[in-house]
Amino acid sequence: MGYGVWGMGYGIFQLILLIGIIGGIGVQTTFAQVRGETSALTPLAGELGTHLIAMPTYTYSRMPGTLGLQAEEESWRPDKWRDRQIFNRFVPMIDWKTNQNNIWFYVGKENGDMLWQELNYRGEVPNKVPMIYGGFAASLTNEFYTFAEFNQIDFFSGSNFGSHSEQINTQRFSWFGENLPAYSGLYGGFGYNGTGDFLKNASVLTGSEYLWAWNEKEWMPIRISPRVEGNASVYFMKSEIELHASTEKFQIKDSVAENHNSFGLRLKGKSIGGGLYVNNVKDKENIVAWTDFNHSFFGFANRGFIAFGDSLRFADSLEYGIDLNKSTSLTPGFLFNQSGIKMYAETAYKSKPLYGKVRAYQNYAADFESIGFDSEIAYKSSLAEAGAAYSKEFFEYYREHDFYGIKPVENSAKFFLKYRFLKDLAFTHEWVYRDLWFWNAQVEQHIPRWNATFYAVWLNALSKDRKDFDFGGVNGARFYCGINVRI
Amino acid sequence: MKKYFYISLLLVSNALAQSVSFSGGANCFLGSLQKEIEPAPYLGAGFELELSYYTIGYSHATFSYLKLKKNRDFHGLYQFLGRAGIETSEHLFEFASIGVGISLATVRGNAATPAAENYMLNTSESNFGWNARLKINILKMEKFTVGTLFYYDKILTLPNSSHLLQGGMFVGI
Repeated sequence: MGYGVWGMGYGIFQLILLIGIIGGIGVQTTFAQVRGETSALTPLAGELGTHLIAMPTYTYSRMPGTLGLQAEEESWRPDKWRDRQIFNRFVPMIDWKTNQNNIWFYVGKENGDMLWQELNYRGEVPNKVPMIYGGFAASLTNEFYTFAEFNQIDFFSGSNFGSHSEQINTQRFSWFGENLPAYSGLYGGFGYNGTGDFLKNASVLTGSEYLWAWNEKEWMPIRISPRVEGNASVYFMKSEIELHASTEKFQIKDSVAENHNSFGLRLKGKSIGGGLYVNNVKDKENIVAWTDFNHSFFGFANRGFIAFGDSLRFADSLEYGIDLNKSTSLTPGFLFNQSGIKMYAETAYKSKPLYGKVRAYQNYAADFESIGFDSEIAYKSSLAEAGAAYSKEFFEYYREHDFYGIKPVENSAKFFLKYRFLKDLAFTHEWVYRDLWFWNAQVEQHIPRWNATFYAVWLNALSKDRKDFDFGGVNGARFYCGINVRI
Repeated sequence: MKKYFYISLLLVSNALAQSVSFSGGANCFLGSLQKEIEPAPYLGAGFELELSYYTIGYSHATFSYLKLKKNRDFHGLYQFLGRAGIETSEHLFEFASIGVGISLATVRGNAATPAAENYMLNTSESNFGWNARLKINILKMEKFTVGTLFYYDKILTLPNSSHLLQGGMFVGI
């Protein structure tokens, strides 16, 4: 939602468009999408267990059992490898398919600065910190566009400020402000979306980042600057080929800067694909080559991949879909990979406006053994959406315990309700359980005339002074609001 | 940080203004803050935008300079209060509108002694909260509307929430 200030000329508005170009991804607006973290708060996945990420808050990657509530599925996704294993991104960069003319801006705050109360209670409450992010994408011509984003999340910086400032002698380890935020980044670039037979799209983005990463002992201050990333899609013999390349100067504070270079090529086939990702750090190459496949035959669906890197990795899943009746289906399946076997069965019910799903699974892996189930039920109409989901996983054995003492998420639950008061005004809230309860709420007002949507979001951990990890920040209530305008 | 935020406010207000109003009135706190802060005048500006047949979006910003009753480390406090919300349109109630919205308060001390540097108030501090508003149109002319405007704001400060009232007159164009 906006705040009025004295009427200023549109000259200033244009100037601001130029300067204010401040980036981020924004709140997802799809079905019950209020999240426990802001959308820039992304897990550093690809490793086992639950992790506090470089971002100020945490999220669960929940690798071991997977298939859980909002878990990262272990079905293989090249994008995940590209972003996290090869490009080693702490924060996802701009969506490369960005081709809408958009400007967005969000500002938020951990709740609870003293303000006037300091006159009475001086020194009693620690400082609370903001976050800010936004960006724009605008067409230059029919085919070329330009975009930029800015993102700085100071949430939880206050609780780490002491340990962070011991490591660096300046308070300025960010694009602005003096909170030593966990992440601060600024990017800009150009892109092309064509209709040609050969080149489909291409983009180049450059920028720099400050961030803090946890290396299981201490926080590491890192500066990545400059960073240049290029992406392109071309067609060759009717198949799409994705190309990626990036180079960056990566420097842990007070150590020698390293150059990190990455290159990726991916062939996207309908039933078979493959590719190669190369990552070069300090003259050491990390190469992953893979092929992925996806077939259906006699009602069976077979999906999987084989990858060659420093070790052989593979996964293959076989499912068989059965329609029990018009609205109910049953899908038994199994999946095996290099470290174990998973067996699962899923039954789904779909009869508007009701949806339901139950899935049970059993894992036998080298790192863990578990059984679990996921369940979801939802109601969806034009006026309201409501639902509940519950997941539970029982670990018989879990290796990560021995190393880090990090508790896997054994159960998680979610209830949500979205209600549309008026055509363009919706209220969403949800209760989420992941070791502790969160209550999140969002008001969303759409203004069709301006192609604008306003958001006000309240993220609330329902416990006080609770830390998810020893090295993490204290969970508190946070609020943020923002606007997204299609220009 | 603040600089960027105000830029964004300007952006939003300019891009979306449909009717603009200027207002002035009094600012007073409820509860224990009454013992610390004197009632003070405010000046404000805002805009309104039709959202639907029944609802109007409002945005309002006020500035006040607060004088303190007890504290001697500051001459006073600069206070900026920004609000945005949704209120009823004239199709629901013709002469009055009621609304709720979110508030953002920013306060900065005007230091009087070196000891002021030990306060967080010595730099700008801000916090969100929510507000309720009541607007009554007294005089409606072709181009102008004159009326009264009342706000109750609850700012979610710690260790206690802060409550304040603002009441005054507005001229809308």
